[in-house]
Amino acid sequence: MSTIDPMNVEPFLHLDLETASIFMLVLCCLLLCLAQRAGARGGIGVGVLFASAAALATTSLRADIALGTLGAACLVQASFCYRATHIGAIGLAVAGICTALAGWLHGRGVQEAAFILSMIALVIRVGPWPVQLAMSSLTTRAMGEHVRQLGMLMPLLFVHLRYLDHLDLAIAWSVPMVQVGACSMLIGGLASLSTPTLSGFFIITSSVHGAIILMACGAAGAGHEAAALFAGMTACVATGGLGAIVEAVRQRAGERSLVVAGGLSNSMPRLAALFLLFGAAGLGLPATAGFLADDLMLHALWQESPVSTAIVILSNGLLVIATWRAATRVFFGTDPIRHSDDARFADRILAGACLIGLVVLGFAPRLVLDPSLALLKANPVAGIVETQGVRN
Amino acid sequence: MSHNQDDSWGDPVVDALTAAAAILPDQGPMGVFIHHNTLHSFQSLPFHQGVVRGAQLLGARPYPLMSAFRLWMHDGRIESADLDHALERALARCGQVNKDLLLGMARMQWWRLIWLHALDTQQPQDLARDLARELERNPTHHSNAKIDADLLEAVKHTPPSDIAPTPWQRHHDALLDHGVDTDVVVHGELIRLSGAFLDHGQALIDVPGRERGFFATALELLALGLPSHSLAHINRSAQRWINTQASARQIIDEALNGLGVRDDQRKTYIMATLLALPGWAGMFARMQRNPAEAPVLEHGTKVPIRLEDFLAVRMAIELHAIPKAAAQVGVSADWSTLRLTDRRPARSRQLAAALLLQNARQTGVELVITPESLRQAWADLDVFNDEARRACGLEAYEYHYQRQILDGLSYARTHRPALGKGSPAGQFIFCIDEREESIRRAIEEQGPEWVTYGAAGFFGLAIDYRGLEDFEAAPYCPVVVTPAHEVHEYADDDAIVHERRRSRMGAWKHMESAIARSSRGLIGGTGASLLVGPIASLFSVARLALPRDSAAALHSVQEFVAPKPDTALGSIRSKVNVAKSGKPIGFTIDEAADRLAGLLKTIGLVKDFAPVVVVLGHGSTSLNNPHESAHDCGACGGRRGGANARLVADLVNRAEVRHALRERGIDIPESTWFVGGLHDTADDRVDIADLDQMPRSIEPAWRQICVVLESARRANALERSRRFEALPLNATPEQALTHVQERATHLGQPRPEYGHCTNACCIVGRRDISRGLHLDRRAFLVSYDASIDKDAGILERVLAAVGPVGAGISLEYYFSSVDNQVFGCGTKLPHNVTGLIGIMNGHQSDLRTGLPLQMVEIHEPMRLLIVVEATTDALLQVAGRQAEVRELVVNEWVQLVSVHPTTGAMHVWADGGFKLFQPDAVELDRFQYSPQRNCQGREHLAPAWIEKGFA
Amino acid sequence: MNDIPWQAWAAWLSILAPLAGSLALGMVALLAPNIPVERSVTRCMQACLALALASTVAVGIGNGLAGNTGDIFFGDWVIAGEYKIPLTLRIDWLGILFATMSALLALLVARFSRTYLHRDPGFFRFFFMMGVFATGAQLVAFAGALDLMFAGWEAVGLASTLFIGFFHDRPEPIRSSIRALSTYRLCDSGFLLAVVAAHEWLHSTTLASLDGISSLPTWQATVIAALLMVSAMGKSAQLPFSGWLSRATEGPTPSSALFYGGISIHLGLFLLLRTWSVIDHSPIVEGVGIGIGLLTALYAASIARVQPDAKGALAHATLAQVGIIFAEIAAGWTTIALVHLLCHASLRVWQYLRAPNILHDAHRIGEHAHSGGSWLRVWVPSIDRRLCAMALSRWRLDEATDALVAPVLRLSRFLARATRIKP
Repeated sequence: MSTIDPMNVEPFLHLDLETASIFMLVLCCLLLCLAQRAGARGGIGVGVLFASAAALATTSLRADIALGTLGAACLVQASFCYRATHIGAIGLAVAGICTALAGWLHGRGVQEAAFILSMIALVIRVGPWPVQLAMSSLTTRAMGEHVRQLGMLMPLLFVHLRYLDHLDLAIAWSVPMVQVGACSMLIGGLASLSTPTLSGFFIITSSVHGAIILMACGAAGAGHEAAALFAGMTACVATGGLGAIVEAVRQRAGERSLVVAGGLSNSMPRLAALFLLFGAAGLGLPATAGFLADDLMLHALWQESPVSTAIVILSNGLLVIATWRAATRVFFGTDPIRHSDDARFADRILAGACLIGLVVLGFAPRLVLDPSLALLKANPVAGIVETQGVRN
Repeated sequence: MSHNQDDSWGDPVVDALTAAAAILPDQGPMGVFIHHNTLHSFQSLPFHQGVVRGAQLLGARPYPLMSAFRLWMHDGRIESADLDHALERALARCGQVNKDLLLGMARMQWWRLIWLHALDTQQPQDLARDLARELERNPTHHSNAKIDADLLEAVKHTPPSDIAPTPWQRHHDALLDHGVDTDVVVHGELIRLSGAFLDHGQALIDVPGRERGFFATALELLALGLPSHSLAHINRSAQRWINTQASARQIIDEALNGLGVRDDQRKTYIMATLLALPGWAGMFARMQRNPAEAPVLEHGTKVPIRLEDFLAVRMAIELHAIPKAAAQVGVSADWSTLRLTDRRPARSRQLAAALLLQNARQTGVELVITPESLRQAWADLDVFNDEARRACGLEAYEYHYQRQILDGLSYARTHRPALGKGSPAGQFIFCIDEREESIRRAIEEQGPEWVTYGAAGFFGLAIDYRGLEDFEAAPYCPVVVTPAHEVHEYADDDAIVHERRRSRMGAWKHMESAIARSSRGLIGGTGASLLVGPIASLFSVARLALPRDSAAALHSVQEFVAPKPDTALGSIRSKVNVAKSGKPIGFTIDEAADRLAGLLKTIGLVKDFAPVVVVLGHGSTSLNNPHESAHDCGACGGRRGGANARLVADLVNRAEVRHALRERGIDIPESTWFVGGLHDTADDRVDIADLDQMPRSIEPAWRQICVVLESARRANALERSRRFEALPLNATPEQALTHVQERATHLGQPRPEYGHCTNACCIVGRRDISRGLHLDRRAFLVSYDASIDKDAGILERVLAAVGPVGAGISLEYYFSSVDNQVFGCGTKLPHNVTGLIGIMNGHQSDLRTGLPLQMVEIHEPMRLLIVVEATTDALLQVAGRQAEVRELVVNEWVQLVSVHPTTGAMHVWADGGFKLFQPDAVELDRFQYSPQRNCQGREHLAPAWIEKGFA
Repeated sequence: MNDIPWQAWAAWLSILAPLAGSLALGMVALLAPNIPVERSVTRCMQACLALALASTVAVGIGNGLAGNTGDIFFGDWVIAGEYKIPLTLRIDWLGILFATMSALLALLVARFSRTYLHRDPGFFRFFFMMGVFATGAQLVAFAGALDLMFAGWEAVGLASTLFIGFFHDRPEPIRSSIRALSTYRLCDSGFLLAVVAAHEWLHSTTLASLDGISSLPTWQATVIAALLMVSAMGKSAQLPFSGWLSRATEGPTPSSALFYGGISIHLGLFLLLRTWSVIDHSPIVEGVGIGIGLLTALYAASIARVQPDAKGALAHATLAQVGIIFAEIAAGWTTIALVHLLCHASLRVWQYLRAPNILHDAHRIGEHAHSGGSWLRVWVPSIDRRLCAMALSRWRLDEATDALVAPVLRLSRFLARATRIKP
């Protein structure tokens, strides 16, 4: 037996908080670009604007600036999608205002209120069942904007975890949040089995992932920030990627019914593969971040509520089945016509980059996790993070 | 036979059963695969009507898709002239005049536009709608905005000539639209029951009580089985029916009443019900017609099989499945009520028209749009509808090939150098099979002294043959012929050695089968795993890593354990010798001489005999291929030929027979020796039988023949390998031979050979008219000499055999490649042999009939082009006497061309008469040897001229 | 990390080589204008599989030369607070034998499929999934921690689902693949729960710590054992999760051979062997396991008798043996079970690969006449009849499952209707 003592092994990489946020920013920017491809309004400039906002929010050492920036970005986005969907725009606007208010309140020292407002913004933006109204109209009318807001959700989650999720209130809420999230996930998982359209399927998937993020926030309150951030990032990227693929399919072949086989894989094999990959990545495909995110989340959840863990595992299974069903109905079967084209080259590059991001995270999760641990140890309440102590 | 649906004056159930039995696939158990016209029962109708009607009933495509035709047009496989020719015929067929002007162009031009640009009706609605919307959104996308506006206006005011969807035929169709598929349950149950009932010995045990027929057996199984969730209480109903001793017919009626099918709806309802699972239903119908093919019971009797039983069981299951499913989706299970809810929208033609006009405009034709011409143009879209367009496409496609062949033949006629006067050194009689074209050419290319003939592969000797290893005699002749004689193969060695060998062989086989069977049991399975498992893994590795060598090694082990003895045929009947079947064993001298004289006269070999005449049958050996038998000789009843060839040689070489032949005007000199053998078309092996009988004097000539054959089979392997992407085009003959041998012994090879895949035409006449032409293995070559056929009697015999056989092969390939999912059996990869009678897809599916995708993937779907070197009068004479040939030709299921034996004038049969064909004076590509031509690509090659055969 | 023996790195190579092949092919297919041609696909995949086989054999040689290598720890994959996912391989004869077997069979099947799938539209897909499968199987064989094993387990399940649905233009393969995936996922939930439970209760998921399960209270040990057994039952198609197996032959013949004759169907058994220390600790689970295994064997053997189609008969014959091996393991005869397992997999792969040859064999052997019935038919015909009827309807197992699932689906439809938002 030549087992090696775990204590003597050096960690793979030494990374600091900045590196983590840079990695997250990369993924965020990828999603923003993907959103552009999926039909988000505005040109490259807007993308750069949003990316800068995200960068400012993650690097800023002041919570009010970070939250304020993100709130403003959200409001800008709301204005973009107002023409396509009023409900979605209103939802985004409310979320934006809540975020900005939270920043202002945080600056004023009213931390509890800031936490509640920030949670409201998060809940609106992730859209777990039964509050998926705003997000579902966004996904049906303006998928690009939805992908973009998923991209911007990552910095929001980061900031929320960094500054707000250490309060006593958060700790008190963590168990109920996990339980509520698990129920929402179960209902979503069940409903996903018989959604009649592709859009419906995506709405449900999105809301199940929303529930996961909600639970992640809950678990984060009880000290699982790393798991929460990791799971949140995975969920955002996977859902965002899936959304872009769904939008690409809808652009080329219109809304697809899940009642009969559509046979699109003959003309769009790559989109079919990407659909499956993003769908599976969000649900724990080994070798992608989803697998580890699941593992981490389950561990975090078990400590809050073992029953919820079992429910989450079950709902995850249901959504896996639903995803395969959706993929078979949309892409499989015979289809005599050849639709215009497969994923375009730029789409493929971006989607491939997102996938590589997920795979890199899947193989080397500590790129994000190690610095997140630093985040844990930092003193968030002071507003200034002392990362020096962990950097050594 | 009429296929009019309105002729239902009789009992609807009986009518429907009769009509369905005629339409259902007529393919027997897979062990012997006979090629036949898939839509044989529609042969009494003209081709275009027949295929459309048959395809409609079976839910298939009658022709290739328009997209395929357009692709061929793009690739130059259809040229503009071909399309014009076909359009003219189409116009004539529809009774239209070319001159009429439509939208400012001649009608033919308009039809051409329709052909080139109109949407397929098979294309779904949303595409058309999207494109029309596109047109609406970007009206000024193209140059002339005025025309666009006019067009849009015109399209908007087009009277909608809607295409109604096919009405619902049975409950399943209606329920499917409500989102529940009753056939999943019904078919699952039915396939399991039918599979077990029709099993020819694959399951370990029989289903009990098969002697009472399917209906009784199935009812008992259902009654004894557990209750099923989706077939509510069928076990109770089955028990009740058993108790009341209900007959099959009573159940059918009870089910029809229970499902609310009224009398006048019954015939269509039952037809549709039977055609829902055509493979299995067809197998019941087939075995009812041919009870000899039914499974055998323990005491040697056959299981009684009736299609009515199948229908009764099906209806009994449907009676339980349908109400359950209907209740689930909340609709009525009563058919009369349910069918009225058919509210599916009809498809509008407007969209198709919009797209068509958009395309027309892009071609740059200046349109003259008036309300009247627009109305006519729309009306023409209905006349020249999708099916007419595709029929037209097929004719253009065929015409292109017809031109190539006829031009080639006329080139050969004018450019052929005279053959030397020297007597032939060797004569080879092959089967007419188009796969033998290349090996014949390879032989001829070795010099003008080598001459080949083509005769149907049973060589005029219709026999029931029993080989040494066979358990019973089987017919070796075309299916339409019933043999009058049996011929058996006997071992030559002494009885003790023979018996020892037999018992060893038996033990070997018994061991194999015991392992295979016992490995399925509990204890046997454990034993087999532990004992055979390690050996099996060795086998897997060896057979996959070195397929050819390991097969050879296995074979030599088998030869060592139980060596194959020398054998002889009992060909001549000395005294009365009768087989179990009541048929005489062997021929008398006179019977033999009659048949042999017939053979030799048919092929025109009556004088100038070479020292050696080689008669070769053909067959194909391959592994892991349920369709193995489809590659065998159709003229030998779908079996490996060779026995007949051997028999010919055996008979002709007898002095008494030669004497009798002399009396019949055929003088075979003493110095001539016949040998018989088998050409394996998969691995290009040539096995010659009875070499030990050959007299010493023949041996020098024979050695020459051996050299010729050796090099010819290599050349043949090389030519075949052209089609297989696995071997580079510049491979050597040796590599090619190794390659084809490997293919034949490889377990993972779904294409050991391409079979009849390249068949396209059939040339009946002296070999002289086609010798020197490279026909790319696409032509059946039938030797026939019109000069010794005074009253067309020989021609009649030839065409009566070749016509139906060739048409059967060609049409089966046509249908299987046009719609491989319905007429063919799909890809081989998931095939699952069931009951030793057929194949299913995956774990359970319909019994798949027709040819697999791998056998037809390079086929060009065309009707067989039969070119006969005989006068039109002779052909008309034959047609007058042979009803089946007449039907094929007159209804255009084949294309017939007459080439005048002396003048060479060509007449093509079209639209009820012979029309003169004027060949173009084209220059064929000239090559020294065939291989030069072969290495020019993997696709089909046009006829070329090979010079070597005359040098 | 200098003291990590080389065979441990070889084991990693055997796991990662096929994955690298698949990833490379996948990236090329995603980014290049055309999907790679057959020749490069087969070359790449065969090279990777050959590498996997060679390194597995090397691991075996190393293990033989240097004695049992045991558990090798490569550091933590994930560290989040006190939560760690260790990268541990367990290199012992059980794993090596199984890994060699799966690598060899994968390579053979790849060789078979090179010609068998020639010109098939799914050619690329097939070989891509072969790589995923091989990685999964190797990872399961060598994994030293439950998390890692689960990753491999999932990869095999995914490949299996995709192979069943390979011919996706017909509805039946898709239906079958959904059924298989549902069974897999339901049972894999057990695995996942077991992983989490082991982590929380044992504070580690390594196999080494599982060996020390006796420190846990009996009920906890029993729960973990039961959860692991449930997931093994799903993969190995034990009752009541047997319905999917016969439907799984919808894929191409070689994948059926590899999965349902060879590796995948035996993977559940391997899991039991791997976690034998846990199972051994809870007699209840052992007893239930014996019962389930034997029942499955009887169920499958009864069907294999009457099944008239080649692949259906093989699937059930395989299941019967798997049931027996399952019972053997549960009864504690692990060595016998391992030998039985390896021999059985070899036999079935060979039989599956040759399944299309049955007509050829029947002609050669000339077995047309029936062997009639069986001793049962002679002695107690009434029972025989009933048995035939039950077996032909597959004991209505699928229907019973459907009946159980029906209310869930009704609820699901209701929820889907209730949550539908007007777009």
